[in-house]
Amino acid sequence: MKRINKEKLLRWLRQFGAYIILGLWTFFLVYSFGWILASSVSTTREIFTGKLLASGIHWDNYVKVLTTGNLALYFENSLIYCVISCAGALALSVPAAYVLSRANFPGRKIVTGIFVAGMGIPSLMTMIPLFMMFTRLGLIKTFAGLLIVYICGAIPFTVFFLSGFFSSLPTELEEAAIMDGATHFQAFWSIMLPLAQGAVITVTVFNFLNFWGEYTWALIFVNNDSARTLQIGLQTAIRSMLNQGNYAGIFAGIMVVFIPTLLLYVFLAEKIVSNITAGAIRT
Amino acid sequence: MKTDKKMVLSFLIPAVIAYMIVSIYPVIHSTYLSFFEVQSWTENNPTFVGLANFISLLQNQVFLKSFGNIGIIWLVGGAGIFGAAFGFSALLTSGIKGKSFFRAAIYLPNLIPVVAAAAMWTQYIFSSRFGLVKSVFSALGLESLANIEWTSHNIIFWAMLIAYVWGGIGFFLLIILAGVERVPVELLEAAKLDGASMIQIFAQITLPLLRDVIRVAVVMWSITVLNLFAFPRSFALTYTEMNTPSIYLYQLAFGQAGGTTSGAGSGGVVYVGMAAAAGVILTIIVVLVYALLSLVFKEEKLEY
Repeated sequence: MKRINKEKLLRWLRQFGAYIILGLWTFFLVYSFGWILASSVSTTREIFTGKLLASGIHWDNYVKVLTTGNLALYFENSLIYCVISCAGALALSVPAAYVLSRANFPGRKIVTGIFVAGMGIPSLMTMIPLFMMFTRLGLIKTFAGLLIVYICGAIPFTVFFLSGFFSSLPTELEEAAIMDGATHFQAFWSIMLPLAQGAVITVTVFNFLNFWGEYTWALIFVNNDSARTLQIGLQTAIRSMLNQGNYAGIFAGIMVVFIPTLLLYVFLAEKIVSNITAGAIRT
Repeated sequence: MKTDKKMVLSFLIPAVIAYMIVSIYPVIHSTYLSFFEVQSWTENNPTFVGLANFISLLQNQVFLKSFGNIGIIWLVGGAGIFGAAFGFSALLTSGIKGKSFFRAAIYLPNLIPVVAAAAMWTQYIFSSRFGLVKSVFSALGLESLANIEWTSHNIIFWAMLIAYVWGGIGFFLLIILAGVERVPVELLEAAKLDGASMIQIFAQITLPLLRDVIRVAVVMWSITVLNLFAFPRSFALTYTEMNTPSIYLYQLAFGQAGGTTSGAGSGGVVYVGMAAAAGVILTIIVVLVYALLSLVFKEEKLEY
């Protein structure tokens, strides 16, 4: 009896400690974002004197950062980049992932290996020749230039993720369809693709988050007023707001960039978290 | 499955070509350029200089120091990230309630876009006027700690490292947790019954069984650190204290003044060939590190 009690007490103590540490982490997150949110609708004077929200809510910080800071335009640009890139990456990667995981042909292992190796190449190494080539083609500072880079660059990860899924499906389904007289393409299009819907959505969420937060290529390829992304736009806007001492505007800008990610995460956290976990086990 | 050749080709070729354009071809062209002096982005007749770019880079203190910086980030930051990830995975598997909520909360910082995360730390948490760190230390009466200027030149590197570790823990926690949860409970209970201590169980059962997961995590961490660019650059745009090899490569290729407003190719002196050489050196190191880690974590399948 005594031993059990001691064990129970130890267990309780350990869990109590766990709640305190995890609670502190969560409190830090909530407090920081709460503070930034409150500051984003206060005045800069209130931020400096520690009296957030004292004069009510100032939505005009957001209006200013979206209009004069141009973040509204950059927000729209980033959405365009993300949506087209996600679609483009799928269009190229789904078929490739399908044949790489379901068809037998010579060279399959080599092609797969090349795709996997591609995820390790330093991006700044590939950037120099691409910048040179795109300069000659007139693609620098255009939407097309960054879109090409994003779509092609997302192929290795998207193929890797989807072929993992396709190879987990049983082969009987396609075989039965083909026995019934369907072509290989019909079997892919009307049987396998619908089954892959969940995996396609998941990989698209990952790609979207990657494109939304992408920094390096956006900085080098489209750092101009019309085609800039939200990330680089925020950095530019923060620089000029620091010069003006407009701290309320800086915090409003942070929220504009972070809120879409947060919303996506609130709805999809379980999906995102469990897929990273599954990926870790597979590799 | 019997294969339809036409379908294989038409499904595969677009992706392979697209991928060659942005990956394979640039690696080859970069290697070629690293042997030339290229002083502008539109230069048509670069001068062949042999190994001169490599030699001057390997004698360049700024370049070498940038490797020292990522060495520190790899070691100190890695200790922080892996320590915290193991710690959190122990806490999350201790049978607490709300596990998936806390797991999601630990992962969240990973998703904050870099520019927003860097601004959050530099403009709020480490702010010397109204920062969170300052107010916490002031409230505790620790005035000397409260007066630290976190964003000053001599310690901003460490401030960046703290913020970077905070952002990276979640991803590595998920990977390690996935491994921990696959360790059979019976094994741990049997050891406990035999009188093994918590530390013994961790060192002699959990850790060896996590080998594969740790290998994946260490490889990912090493490659991420070697290529580090966005976070330190967003943390302090022009401070040389933050230089990583990639940041230095960027400065060589696009000019020292390549801040956010002027941007790439805005004139000034550029050293494209030397930047390409820096890229080649970096890629060679990535390959070497990968080979070394594969050697350290030799495949040795444990069945359980």
